[in-house]
Amino acid sequence: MMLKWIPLLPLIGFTINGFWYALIQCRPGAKKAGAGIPGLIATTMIFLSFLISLRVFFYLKGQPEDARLVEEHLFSWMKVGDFNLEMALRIDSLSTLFTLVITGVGTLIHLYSIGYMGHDATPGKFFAYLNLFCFAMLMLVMGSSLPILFLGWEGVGLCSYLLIGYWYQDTEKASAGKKAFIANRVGDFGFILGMFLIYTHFGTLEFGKITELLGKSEFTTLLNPTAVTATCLLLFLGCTGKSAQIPLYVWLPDAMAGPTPVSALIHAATMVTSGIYMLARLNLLFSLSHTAMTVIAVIGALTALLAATIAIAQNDIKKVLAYSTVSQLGYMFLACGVGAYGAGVFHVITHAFFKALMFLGAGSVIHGMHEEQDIMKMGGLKSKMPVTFVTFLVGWIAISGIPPFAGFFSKDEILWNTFAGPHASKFLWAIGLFTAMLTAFYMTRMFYLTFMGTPRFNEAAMGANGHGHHDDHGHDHGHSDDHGHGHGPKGVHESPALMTIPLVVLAVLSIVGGFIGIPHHSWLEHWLEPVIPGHAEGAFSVGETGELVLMIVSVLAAAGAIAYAWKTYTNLKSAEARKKKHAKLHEALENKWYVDEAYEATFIQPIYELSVKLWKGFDVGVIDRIVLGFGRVSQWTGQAARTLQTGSIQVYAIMLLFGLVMTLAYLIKGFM
Amino acid sequence: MDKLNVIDPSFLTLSGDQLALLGPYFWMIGAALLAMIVGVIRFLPSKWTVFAVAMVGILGGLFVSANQIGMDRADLFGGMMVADGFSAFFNVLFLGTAALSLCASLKYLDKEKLQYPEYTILLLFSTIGMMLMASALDLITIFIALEIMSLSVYVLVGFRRNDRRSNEAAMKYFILGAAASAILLYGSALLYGSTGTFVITEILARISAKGDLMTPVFHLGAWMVLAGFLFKIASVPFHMWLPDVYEGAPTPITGFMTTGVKAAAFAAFIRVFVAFGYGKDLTSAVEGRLHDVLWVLAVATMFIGNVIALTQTNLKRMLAYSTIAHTGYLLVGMIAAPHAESGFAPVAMYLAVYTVMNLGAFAVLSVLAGRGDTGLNLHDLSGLGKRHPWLAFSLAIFLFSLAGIPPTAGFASKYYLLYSAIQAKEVWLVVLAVLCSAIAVYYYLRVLVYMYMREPQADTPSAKDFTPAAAAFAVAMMVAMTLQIGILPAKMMAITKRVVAKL
Amino acid sequence: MNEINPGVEPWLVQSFCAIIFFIGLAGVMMRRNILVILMSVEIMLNAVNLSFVAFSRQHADMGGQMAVFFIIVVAAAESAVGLGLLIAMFRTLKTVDTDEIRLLKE
Repeated sequence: MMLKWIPLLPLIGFTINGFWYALIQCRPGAKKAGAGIPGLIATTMIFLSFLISLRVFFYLKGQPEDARLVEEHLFSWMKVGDFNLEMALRIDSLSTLFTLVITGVGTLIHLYSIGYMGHDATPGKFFAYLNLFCFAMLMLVMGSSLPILFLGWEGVGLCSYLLIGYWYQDTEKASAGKKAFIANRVGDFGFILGMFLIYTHFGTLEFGKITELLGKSEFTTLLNPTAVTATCLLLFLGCTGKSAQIPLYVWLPDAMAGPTPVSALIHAATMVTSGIYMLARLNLLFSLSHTAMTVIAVIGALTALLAATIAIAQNDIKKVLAYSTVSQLGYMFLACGVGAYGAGVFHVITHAFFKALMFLGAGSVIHGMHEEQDIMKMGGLKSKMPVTFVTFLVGWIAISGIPPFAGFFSKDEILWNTFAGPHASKFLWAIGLFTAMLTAFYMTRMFYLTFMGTPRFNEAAMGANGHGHHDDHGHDHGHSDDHGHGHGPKGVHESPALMTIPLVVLAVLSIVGGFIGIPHHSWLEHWLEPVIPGHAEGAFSVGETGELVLMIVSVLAAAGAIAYAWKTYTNLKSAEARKKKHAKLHEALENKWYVDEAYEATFIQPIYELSVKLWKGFDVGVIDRIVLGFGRVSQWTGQAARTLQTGSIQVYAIMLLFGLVMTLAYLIKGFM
Repeated sequence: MDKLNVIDPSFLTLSGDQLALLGPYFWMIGAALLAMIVGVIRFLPSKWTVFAVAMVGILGGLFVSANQIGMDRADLFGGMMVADGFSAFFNVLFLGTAALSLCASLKYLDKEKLQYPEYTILLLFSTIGMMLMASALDLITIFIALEIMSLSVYVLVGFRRNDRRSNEAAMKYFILGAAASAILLYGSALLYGSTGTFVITEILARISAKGDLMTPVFHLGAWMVLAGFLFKIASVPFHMWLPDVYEGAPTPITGFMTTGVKAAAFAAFIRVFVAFGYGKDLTSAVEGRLHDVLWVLAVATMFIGNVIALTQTNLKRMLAYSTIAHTGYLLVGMIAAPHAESGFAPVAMYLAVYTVMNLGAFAVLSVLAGRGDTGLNLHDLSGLGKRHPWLAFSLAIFLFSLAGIPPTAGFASKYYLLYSAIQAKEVWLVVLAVLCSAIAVYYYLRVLVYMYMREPQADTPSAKDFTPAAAAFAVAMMVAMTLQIGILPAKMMAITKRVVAKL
Repeated sequence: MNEINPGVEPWLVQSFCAIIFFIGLAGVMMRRNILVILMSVEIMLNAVNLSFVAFSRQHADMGGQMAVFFIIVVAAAESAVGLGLLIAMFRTLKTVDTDEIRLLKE
């Protein structure tokens, strides 16, 4: 089978675009190229990957249940002693879903980017990075062993850095990229330690073998429970970095400094879901440690709540979506924490659809509003950008959890498992429900303020000359602005077809995507069974009627929140008044609970000061002296030894004989 | 006279299979003889025809040898020679070395006005001698092969006959080399005297069967033979000739010497080492002492090589001392080999990698050298990064590889070597080797500083404005190999493991 | 062997060869004239030849004597090369005294 082409095609796209960029565009005086060709190359590559992923999926579907596995061994990377690292790919029922999402949503976003980055100065570089990212992400989900997964893990971290800081001339944006990378790195340290522990206890890092070992109860009973918990927690630390949970989520909101398609692809649909993938992949291991599961569930729930509260007070459209992503990721971890890994994966898929949709929609809005991102300065876009409006509406309803849209099914599955599943916790369910209400609330707020009501901006001021306000959305200064609307209609307008078609497709998916996981007829759960064992019968503490009641409760709660938000924001003045009433709280929310500042004060400043002390005092004072001393001794010895080389043949011959005789004497003495 | 051993008629017959196994030799000898003829025909442009003939021969031999790597062991000439994976591997190495050296020397000889066909012919003969050394199983054959190789190289070292330094280098090499060969030969005589046979596998068989054959005379002879090899690989205390000879010889020949000659000497060294039963606990008292002696030699070699290299400003001399240092590391591998799981495989891999990196470095130097090998001091390399960016980059890669920095091949092979040393429980050796490597990094990277962080000097003697095609191709190939083996070392490790398995 | 042809005791011959070998080696180390050094190398090789013959006789194996043939050939070739190098060196350096040939050092 052609497994290796799935990641290889984007890699080829990266190479082509990269070379073209490096060799042609980087020459001084090269003329600015359009986004068409690099975009086309990149999109074609990822689309072909999608087709191959589809073929693999159908092939797996045709196989009997226990044989749903395709493996491809590429080459042996490193063989040192007992440690054997093979470069091999494997797709089973879990990873095929992920590859479909990555390549499918990826194709749509690539297509979108051709329109969005149309006037960027260096499209070749952008599309090269996008393809590289897809390559890394595909390696992550298709790797057959932890090191390959880690390779992809690091790769997406790198690409995230490159793409967030894409407009690196702006220091702020560059810092956002750095922050992302560093936060990821802290998590990775946990991941690596977790990997070491797995290797020590399992003797292997390959998923097939690990799963096999975990299936044998005689093996699992011999495992040291503390070690298992430690491993799970360390691996989870990696997840908190990559998938933006407490405590390492702080990079994701800042990551909105990058271009919107990047936010859509990386921070909605793919990279941030790598943590969930890893949890699902190793679910048997995590299920062994009740402590770790509890920690994961609690952190997931808290993160969901925290991020939702912050989202209420954000005015930047992208920041709202960013915090919403963190919050939804919290849901996914909550699901995994209570043992419902399938529900977590389900939410990954539906979230990919509607969050990518909303990010792309936001991009469309920003594009149409000439770089304006503050929702307080928008309004009434319903008539001006109809397609965006409708698709965004779909996304909004989906994320709020209203049936029969996608978000309802997945969120409900999670809440249901939290309430009544084998590791249930009513307390966490309550948090989850409250967060769902908050989600509906802030989403409605954002939707209303952006699209409904009367415009709060001066349309005439936008257009050919000005670019409204660009707070966070600058470009390379001077030439490249992708909305230089000297052409085209003045004022706010709908985005071109290249950008709206993906929106429509994603909207459709957000509507129907939920049907793969209808409770009690869940195709998805059945499909994932080889990887994620289903629940035993009678595992749920509440019967079917109870389930129906819970469902209705959550829908009503969401609807209630929507109605409340609608009412509030229809009358802006009263909303303002209410804000003033809770000014302190609002300020805290708007400033993200001052988390960043807290980190700065507790971790970053002290470490920095310690570093300076160590540098000046210890490094320069002690170590440098020792090292330089060594150097001086070596030099001196060298000069001394050098003088032996007198250049005279005689001396050389004498040395020869001398050496011979001495060694001989020593040898023969041993024999006597 | 009663029964004397008459010549066994089977020595004189060669079956068809055996002829096929001798393929590389036929290619090379044919090429050499043809080159001699072609070289004197007046109306042919001798430079290109001789080069072409030589390359055809080398490539033919290379192809045949590469096929032979996987084959089983076969004795030729009644046990005097052997064709197995080990010799095939080294044949590939030698032929590659010859080809790359030829490419690098093409324009160099024009520069020096030394474009004589004899150069190529001598190179070919030397390679034939090397190939023979790797396949020889008989002490006399080893000696003959050693002499074929060395005599050609002596002349090549002195090829620049109007240059005093070249003459002096050749003379020094010749005298000391001849003395060392004589010592080796005398050792062979003593070995023959104590065991009654020349064939080294026979020697091993006889001393395994009758332990008391290992008389003091035997050990004296064995050590003298080993000393002869140690001279050729320039281990302390037999290293004194190396810096002078390397400095005086024409640069491509230095490259050829440092790689081909050393690899050949090691190949024969390995075979002989195995044959003397060291590592098989035949006489543990002497073995322990031999181990100690080699230990001291290895450490001394590593240190002296690295430490003196620190003080050198002439690149050729610096690389010469670094060669001595690498010999030290290889000796570490040799000490560890009898007790390590991978045996001599790390040594073979290190030799292969070392060949590529050193040849590359010397090829770059050949291109950069001025008339008479001037212009190879550190300050002459200033600003090379700006003047010749690709050459500087290649040299940088080779230097990184020599220093043992990932992801180059030098790192992979050094790691493999030290890993086998740890397996053999030679912890102190590894520690010292790593220390020496650290010292070495200084003088390797110092070149980089000069290349990239200094401005080009106005008085740099004739740096060429363009790089000759053949040399450029050779250099490019070597850079590629260095990086490829560095990133994916598994294949090379597997090949070397296979070839030493049946030693 | 010794009963049929008493000849010389093996160890005597060997010691003799060893002495000659070391004389040659000493010549290489101590003489200044390169021509003499070359002659000393020849002496060493010939000592080895003698040793081979003696051992061959001792073991009743023709191998040793065959080896001598090869060694003679190689020694001749070596002399030729050596003398060639000597002449080349003399042309440029105008001397065959090792003490004066010290351009390459340190």
